Amino acid sequence: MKLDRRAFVKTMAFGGGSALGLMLSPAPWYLVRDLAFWTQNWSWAPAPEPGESVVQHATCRFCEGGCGIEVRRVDERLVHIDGSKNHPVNKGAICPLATAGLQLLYSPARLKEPIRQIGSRDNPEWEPISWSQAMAEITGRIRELRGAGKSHTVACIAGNAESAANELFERLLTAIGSNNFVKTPSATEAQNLAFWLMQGLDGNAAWDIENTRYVLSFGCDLLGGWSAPGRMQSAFARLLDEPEETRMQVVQIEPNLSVTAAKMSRWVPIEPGAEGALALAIAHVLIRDSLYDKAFVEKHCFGFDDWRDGEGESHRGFKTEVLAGYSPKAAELITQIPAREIEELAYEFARNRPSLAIGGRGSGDRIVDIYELMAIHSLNALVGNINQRGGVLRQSRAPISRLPEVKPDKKAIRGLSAKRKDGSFPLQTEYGLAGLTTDEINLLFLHETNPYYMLPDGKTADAIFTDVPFIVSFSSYRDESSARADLILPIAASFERWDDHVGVPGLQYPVYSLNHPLVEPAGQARNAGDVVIEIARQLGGAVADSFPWMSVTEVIRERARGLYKSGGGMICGSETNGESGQDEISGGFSAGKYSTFSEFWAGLVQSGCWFDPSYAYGDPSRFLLTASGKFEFFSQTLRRELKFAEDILCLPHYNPPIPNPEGFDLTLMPEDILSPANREIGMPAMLMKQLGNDVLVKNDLFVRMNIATAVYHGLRDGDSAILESSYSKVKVRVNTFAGVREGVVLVPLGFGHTAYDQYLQDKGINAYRLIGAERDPVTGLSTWWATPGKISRV
Amino acid sequence: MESGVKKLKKGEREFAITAGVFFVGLIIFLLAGWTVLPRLSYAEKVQPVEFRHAFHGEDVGITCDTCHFFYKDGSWAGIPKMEICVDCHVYLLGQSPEEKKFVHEYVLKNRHVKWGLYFRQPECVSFSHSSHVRMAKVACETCHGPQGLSKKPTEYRTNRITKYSFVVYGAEAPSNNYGGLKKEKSVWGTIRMDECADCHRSRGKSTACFLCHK
Repeated sequence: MKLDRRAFVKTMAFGGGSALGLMLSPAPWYLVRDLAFWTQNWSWAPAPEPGESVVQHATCRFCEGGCGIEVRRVDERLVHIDGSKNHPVNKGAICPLATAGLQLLYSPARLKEPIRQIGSRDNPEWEPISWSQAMAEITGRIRELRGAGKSHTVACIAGNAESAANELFERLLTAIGSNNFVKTPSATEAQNLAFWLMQGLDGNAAWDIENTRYVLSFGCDLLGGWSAPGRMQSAFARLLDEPEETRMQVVQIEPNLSVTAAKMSRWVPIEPGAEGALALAIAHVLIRDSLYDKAFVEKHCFGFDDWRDGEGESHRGFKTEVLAGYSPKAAELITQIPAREIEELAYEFARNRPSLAIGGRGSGDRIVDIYELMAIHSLNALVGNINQRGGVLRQSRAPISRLPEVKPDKKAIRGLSAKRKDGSFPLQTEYGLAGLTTDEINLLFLHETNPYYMLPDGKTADAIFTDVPFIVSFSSYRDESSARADLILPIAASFERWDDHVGVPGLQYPVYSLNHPLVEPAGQARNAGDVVIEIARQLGGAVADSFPWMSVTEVIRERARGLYKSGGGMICGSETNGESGQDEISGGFSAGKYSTFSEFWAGLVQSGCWFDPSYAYGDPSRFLLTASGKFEFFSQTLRRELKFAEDILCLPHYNPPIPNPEGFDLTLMPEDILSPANREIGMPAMLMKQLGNDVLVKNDLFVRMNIATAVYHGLRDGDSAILESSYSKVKVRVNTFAGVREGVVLVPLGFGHTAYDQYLQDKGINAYRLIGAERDPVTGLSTWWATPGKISRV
Repeated sequence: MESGVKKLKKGEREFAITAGVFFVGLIIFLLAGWTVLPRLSYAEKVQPVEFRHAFHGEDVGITCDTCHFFYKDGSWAGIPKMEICVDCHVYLLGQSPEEKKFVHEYVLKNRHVKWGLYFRQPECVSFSHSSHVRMAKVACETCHGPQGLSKKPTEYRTNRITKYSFVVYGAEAPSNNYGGLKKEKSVWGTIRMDECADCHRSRGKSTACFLCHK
C-alpha cells in the first residue's frame, strides 16, 4: 500500500491520540509498577522456600577443632550456620569455612551414587553402579586377598578424626588381618612427639591460653587455624574487652607480617627458619641472668647441668650448650633480631608469668626439625609452667567406652603379624603416611581424605595412585583422590549422618562431640560406618562376629555409654543460659541430672557436646613420665631409641639450613588464606568469590613478595611469572607487599584443585606440590615449611 | 478567490478529519486504559479446593490459631500445611463434594494443595508477623480483610506480571480497583509499600527504610 502524505499524517494523528489517551489512563503507570514488583519476585533469584524454622545444635566437622554450631533448618533444608554461644570450645566464634559450610553440603561436587571406573586413571570414565554391586566388588576382593594369605596388603588411609567411623575402619582392617590403618598427617603429630621426648607423655599436649599472661608464639598462626581455630578466635576476641594493662601479651615471631602478626601485641620479624636459635638465645638470657624457675629446674628437670651416666661418662647439659653457643649477639647473626630485643623478650617472658612458649608454624605442623620444637618447649620448663595455670598441660581423654576386642581368625592373625606398610619410625607413636610402601598394597580404602591433593610429600601421593591396583574412595565429594580411585562410594556428609569425635586439639579438658542427621543424605549417600559394618557382615565368619551392631548409631551409643558411666562431666546446655554472657567455662551448664542412660543420650543428641571442665593444675610430676621421671632437656629417649652417641643430637639445638642450590635465590613459604579449607575439603564457592583481586583473578593465583624482591627480579605488581622449586614449576602472578621479608615468596594454600566443581577447578596452583616435603631424619616426620625457589618473568 | 476559499475549506476538512482521527485514538485508548487493559492484566482464578473459613470458624468452632499459628521461634506458619489439615481430615468428615475431593485427591494421595498465594512479601522485605500481631496488636483483618469470615473465597485475581493476588469482596467492584494506585475497601490482597507506609504514618510509627529493608 502506498502511503501518501495525508495518510501518513492521519496515521500519526491516530498514533498520537492513542498515545495521549493511554498516557491519561492509569494503564502504563500500572505496567511500570507491576514490572518493578515483578523484578522483586524473580523465581530464579536464590531464596529459601518459606517454612517451619528450627535451630538445632551440632558440632562443626569441617576440621577437628570441635566448634559448637547452631544450624537453622527451614522445613527440609538447612539455611544458616552460626556459632553456638554457650559452647565450651568456641563460645560463639566460628571460622569462615563453617559459616559457608552449607555450600559444601549442597555443592554440585557432591557425589550422589556409587560409581565405578571403567577407563584408566589417566583417562577416567565412570559408570554408575548399585550399592549391592559395589559391596560385592569390595567383599569379593577382600575374600580373594584373605584366601591368598595377603590380607596384610589391604590398607586404609583416613582423615584424622577420632570418630566411630574411623574406629570401624581400623576394626575392619584388624578383623580381616591388616594393621595398615593410616591417618593423614595432622598438626598435633610433631607437637606430641616433642612432648613425648621431653616429658615422656604419650598423648595430646594442651595449652592454657585463656589463663596465661604472656605468649611467645614462634610463628603459630593463632588466628588462622593453629590448634583449635574457634577456641583461639574466641580467646583473642575476649582479650579486647580487657583493660590494656592486664591484657595478655602475645609476641608473634614470624618472618612475614601475617594477619596474626598484625593483630598481636608485637611482631618480631625473624629470619625464616631461625625460630629454634631465638628460643635458645632467650634460654641463654634466662639462664645467664638467673631469671629461670630454679626450684622447678632443680627438682623436676634432667640434663640441665652436665651429668655423668652409669658408666661414668660425662655428658653435656642444656645449660653448657646454651651458654656456649647462643648468646644474644651470636643469635642476632642467625635470627636478624637485634640482641637488645632478644634480651628484652627474655626479661618479659620471665617476668610476666604465667608465660607460655608455643611453636609449630602455620596450623602447627610446619617445623624445621624436632629440635626446634624441643628448643621452644625448653622455655616452658625454664619458667616452670608445666601443668600450671596458664602453662603447658596434658589433654585428658574423654572416658568413652572401648568397643569389645576384635577376635581375629587364623587368616587375620597371619596378616597381623606382617610388618606395617607405612613409614612409622620407632619414635613415632602415631602413623606415618610419609614413606608408605605403596607397591605392596593391593586394596586401599580412602576414608574422608584427599591425599593426592594435600600431601606435601608428593612422591608418596603419586605413588599411591600409580602403584595400588584397586582403590575405593569413601567420599562425599568428587575430590582429586576420588577422581583417581577405581570405585567411589558416596558417603553422607556432615549434617546428614550420625558422627562423633573425641577431643579438641590443644584443649586440656575432655570433649566429646556428637552429631545426628539434620537432613536426609543426598541421593544414595550412606554413612561410611554403616557401609563398613555391612562389608564385615557380608564377609561373615569371625569378621562378622567382630561387628555385632546393625548400624554406626549403635556403635556411637556404645562409645557414649562410657561418658555416662564415668558420672563426671556435663552436657553442654542448649537452653540453660542463652546469651547471658559466659565467663566461666562451667557456668550455666547442667550436670549429673540424668538418672538413666537413655535420658543422658537424649540430652547428648540434642546438645551435641559432652565435656568435663575440671582440670587438676599443680603437681607437674604427674606429667613427667620419662625414664628419669623428670623433664628432660637432654632427651634420654632419643639416646636410647636412636642410639645417638653425640650429646648434641639429644639436646635442643639449632641446625643451620642447607644453603640453597645454585640458581635458587628465593625462599618459598606456604601461606594460609583459610586454614581449614586447605586440606581434605575444598573451599566453598562463596569463599572463593570473596577473595580479593590480589589473591585470585580468574584462574591466576597471586604470590606475595617484597617490592625489593620483585624489583630485583625485574617484576612489577600484577606481572605474570614462572615460579620454580625443585618439586614443580608453575605460572603465577606477582603481588608486592612490604610485610613480606626480602627474598621470601608467599604462596597461598588451598588452591589449584583439579577436581571438585567449576568454582574450584583450575583456580591457581597447589602450593603443597610446589613447596614439597622432606623427611626429618630423626623422627621420620614429613617436614615442610619452606623450599628454595626461583622466579622469572614470563 | 473562490478557489482560495475552496482550498481553505479543503484544508479545514483535512484538519477536522485529522483532529477527528486524533480524538478517536485518544478516546479509544483512554477508555481502554481505564477499563479493559487493567482487567486484562489480571487473571481470574479459583482455589483448587473450596475452603470456607466461616464454616470452620463459626460452624465447627475452631479458633484461628489452630491452623494459623506462630512457630516456637516466633516465625509465622502462614497458610497451614497438609499436616495441619490432616490432623482432622484423615477421613471424610462430612458430605460435601469439595471435602470428598480434598480427602481423595490430596489427603489420601499425599499431595499438597497448591493454594493461591495471596499475601507474600518479596525477599527484599523483612516482614514479621510476630512484631505486628503479638507486639503491636494489629488485628488480622486490618491487613487481610474479611478473609476469616469468607463464605466462598474461592475466586481470586492474580496479576499476570507480578503474580500478586487479590480477592474482591462485594457484588460488583469496579473493574480496575484492585490494580489501582489506591485499593478500594472491598479489595484485599498483597500489601504494597505505600500501604505499609500509610499505616505506619497513621499510627505514628517510624517509616525508616531499614525497618523493613534490612
